[in-house]
Amino acid sequence: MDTLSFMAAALSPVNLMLAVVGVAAGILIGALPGLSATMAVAVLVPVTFGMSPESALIMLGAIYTGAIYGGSYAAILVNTPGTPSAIATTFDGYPMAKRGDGDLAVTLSTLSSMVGGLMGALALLTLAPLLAQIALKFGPVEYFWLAIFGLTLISALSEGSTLKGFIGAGLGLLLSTVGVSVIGADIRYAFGSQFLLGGVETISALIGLYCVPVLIDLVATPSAHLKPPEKGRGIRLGEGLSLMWRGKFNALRSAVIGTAVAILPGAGGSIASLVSYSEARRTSTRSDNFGKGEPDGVIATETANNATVGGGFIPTFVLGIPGTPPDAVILGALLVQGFRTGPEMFTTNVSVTYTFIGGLFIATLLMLPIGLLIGRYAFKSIVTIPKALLVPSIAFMTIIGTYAIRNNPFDVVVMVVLGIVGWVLSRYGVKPSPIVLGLILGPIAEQGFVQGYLIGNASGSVFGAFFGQPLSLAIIAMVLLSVLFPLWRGWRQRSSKETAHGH
Amino acid sequence: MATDNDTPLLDARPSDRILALVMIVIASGALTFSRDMSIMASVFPRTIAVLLLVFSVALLAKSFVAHPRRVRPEPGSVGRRLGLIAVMLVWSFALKWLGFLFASVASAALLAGLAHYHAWTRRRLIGYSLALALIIGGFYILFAIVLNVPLPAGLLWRHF
Repeated sequence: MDTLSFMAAALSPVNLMLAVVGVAAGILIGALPGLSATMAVAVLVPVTFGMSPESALIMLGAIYTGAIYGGSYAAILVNTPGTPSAIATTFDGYPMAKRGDGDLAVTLSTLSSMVGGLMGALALLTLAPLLAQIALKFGPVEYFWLAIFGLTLISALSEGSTLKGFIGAGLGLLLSTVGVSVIGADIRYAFGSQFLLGGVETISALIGLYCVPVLIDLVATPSAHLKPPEKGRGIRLGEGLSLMWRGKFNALRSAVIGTAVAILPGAGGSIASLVSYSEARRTSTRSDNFGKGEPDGVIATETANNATVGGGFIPTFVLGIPGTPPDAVILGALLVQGFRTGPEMFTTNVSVTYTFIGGLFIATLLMLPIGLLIGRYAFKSIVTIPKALLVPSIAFMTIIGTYAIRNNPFDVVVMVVLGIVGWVLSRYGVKPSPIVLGLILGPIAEQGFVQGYLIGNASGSVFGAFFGQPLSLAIIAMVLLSVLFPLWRGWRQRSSKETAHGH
Repeated sequence: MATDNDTPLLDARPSDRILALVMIVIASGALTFSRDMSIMASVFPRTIAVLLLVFSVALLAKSFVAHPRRVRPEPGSVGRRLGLIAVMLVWSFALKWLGFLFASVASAALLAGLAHYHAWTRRRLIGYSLALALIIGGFYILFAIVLNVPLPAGLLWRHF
């Protein structure tokens, strides 16, 4: 009963207003390439310092939820993930927009994000202490294998050859090693340049690799980059709801995957959305349509990445270990407010915790009307803007977004150069997603790998350290499955085609 | 809906060989430059470089034994593509010297010209200029004033 009354406190007019403002601000910031959910939360944290702890947390949770969802707009409409967790949304969202179904893709993304967000919040409400204990069983080696799992998944899922996917992932991992090393603090591949000491900034690389190739191809032809929607179709909510109903098991599975992955500190929404995308494709009867504008692909990725919001708060609140990068910023805000995370969040500070969870539910529900409203105009305007305005506007946003990450003009140069390299590589069959994920997961993989190597050396068996634990073996089995399954499916399709030709 | 099935495919062997050779050079370079690093710092990049080498050699070998196909790249004007690349590169280098606002206004105007395929009328010119000024001005205010991002003012203008 107390729990319900604490949650109901989130319904006060002030908290409701803060949730509306937070969701709208989060959506707008998340939709701009270069402004990640972490940045959205970090930039707006000072605004909450003067508020009560409950209101501050509600606003930060709303910004985070909105920003993760907002990342799908740019992914769907300009093939550039607004946040890293929307990378997999580009696989089917952009092809949908290209064929004139961008409005439906945005509606599906809104509905899926709401379902995922509600499931994540429900997990936070009911399973927090239990699930946090499981996360503690993950050591450095398990994190290494988890990062490798993410990379093999994206290599296998990327359009074209799996071998080229691995080459892209390798290139991304190598790029992640530029600068000061994660362990040992050696300077690597900086070639005497002080700018390269800080390494290749992930978001700059993401913007360059996704956005610049789109711009290069946009100026090359006079035709519109997206097919305009048919007149009078509105937001296609009915169609979206029926597709969601058809994909209800896909959404449910993706929400569970998103929550489970987010509980592992540092893993984040990018792995969650990839794993759920892979599962959706593997189990679908329309698996051949994935990557060509399959609505189930958008449902899987967007449900999973919003489920990471609630899921990520589980280790943040229970263990004081942030599940995702924005959680780290919110953890800092909690400390400023004078709270210590840990079991106290569910005993002494229970009112704050449950009011916040109530606020998270409300913010997720508010995402539906606000998201549909913004999404409708976003699609219509991006389709009707002439190229002579669209190209310089996107280019300007990439430049200012990249510069603002570290206030460093060199990051802008790196972004443009990587974008040109990415465009050339994509003409050779290497897609940007494996390179970007290599960059994102590189530090996690390296830390796990080097720590595992040191543990193995100390215990006398490096092999045992990497292949001796049941949890590691389970993840290795998933790695092998993710590599071998697409190969097996390709072989089966070829042999069935040959049989058909033979007849 | 365009699918792979209705897009004409090209012979991927020459491009795969070039890609494999470039990646072999990159992986070999990463191995060579890791010689001076400590064991802890070099173990990961070396492992990745070796894997990249293996994948690249496999791609090279595959291009000799199989007949891989690739999707035809998007057609279009080479000149406009090169123009965009040049403008973006100059824009990124000019931020520090010309300042954010000046470099952005000049580059955005050039890009608008590159992306425009119809005749320029006075009305269109004024409309597009106003719209671009609004977008650049709006974002400049958002970042420089609201978010307090110190955008470069331009080293060149210090002397004036």
